[in-house]
Amino acid sequence: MKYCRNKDIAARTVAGENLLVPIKECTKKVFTLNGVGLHLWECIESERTEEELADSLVDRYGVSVEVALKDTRAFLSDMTRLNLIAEI
Amino acid sequence: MKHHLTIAGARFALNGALDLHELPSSFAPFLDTDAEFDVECAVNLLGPSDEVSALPLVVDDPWSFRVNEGLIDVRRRNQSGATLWRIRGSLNMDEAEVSWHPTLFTKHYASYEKAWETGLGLSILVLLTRAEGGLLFHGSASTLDGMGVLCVGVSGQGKSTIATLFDTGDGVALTDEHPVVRKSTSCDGGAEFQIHGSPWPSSAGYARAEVAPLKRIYFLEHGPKNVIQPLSPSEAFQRLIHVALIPWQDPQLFDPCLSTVEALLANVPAAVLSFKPDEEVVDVIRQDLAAERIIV
Repeated sequence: MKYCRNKDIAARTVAGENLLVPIKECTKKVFTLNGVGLHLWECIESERTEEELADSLVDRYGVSVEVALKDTRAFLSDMTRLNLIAEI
Repeated sequence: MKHHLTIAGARFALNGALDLHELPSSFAPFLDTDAEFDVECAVNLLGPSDEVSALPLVVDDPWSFRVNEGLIDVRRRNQSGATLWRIRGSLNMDEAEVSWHPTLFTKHYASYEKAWETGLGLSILVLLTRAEGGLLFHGSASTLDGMGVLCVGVSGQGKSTIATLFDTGDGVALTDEHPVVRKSTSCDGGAEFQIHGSPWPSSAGYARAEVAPLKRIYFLEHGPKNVIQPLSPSEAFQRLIHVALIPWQDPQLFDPCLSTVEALLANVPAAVLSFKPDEEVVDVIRQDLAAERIIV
């Protein structure tokens, strides 16, 4: 299974905070990402699998595969629930 | 006779029938004054429009701020998704047209003047000032010893209470609902911010056409004692974006607002103000204002 960003999400960095703004019919909330979240968001500019995203965390942060997969799954779970990314 | 409103350095030339007697008294300090302004919008009243009644129904989208074909298009909808009123204007909002649903508008607002009392006027002000370092907030604005203080928070956090504590103490309350912040350039090229009153008060009724240099931003919380906890710009940002009136639906509209937020937090110290509702909080704030606060 692959994941990609939902369209109509604007990303901005303001005052050191990484902001995601859903530009849709009714924008009720904006979201902020921490450093790891921003890295994964940038990776998911093109379609990625869970494993590819986890590998990127291993490369970037030097963490174990187990930790990387855990963080990736948490990210994907939150982001799909918030309708910011989609499963393909 | 044509009338004008001047709010926070933004002038609205009101072209079209406007019954001054129908405007709430809170607008009086802002009406037909010789106050200075740096941006101006000619607001043309088109009135009832079949075009508005023909707009598609969109449920669960009561406020729509978009850029269509190079024009700003604002629509206020009712719960059924019908458009009550519409503002169309140039990107810099030097000109705007107001039109409305032939039947639903007066059912909802009773009059054009009543609509200015609620979101219509606020919408135009947000759009007119956004590219010129302007931001509107849910909050209160007050001055103390000539220094401006912005207190923000959602309903029930004490905006009107603290405005009243300022006003009945040594300070002056400018507004207890929608303060306006404007950015200017100082002599040394840095950013300075002013806080303005507006004609849209809350329960305490403060609406003064006055301005002061903005020195502090406080995020209000109820507490057993008066405590000020400084925030970093990034901590303040997370809170501020939820109380700022930012048109989030189009980057052309919100990007200038975000630039202003960033400059604001880089120049004006922010803190959480946990307070109990008595006059002691004004002295606590006075002491905080007297202390030099460095933003890291």
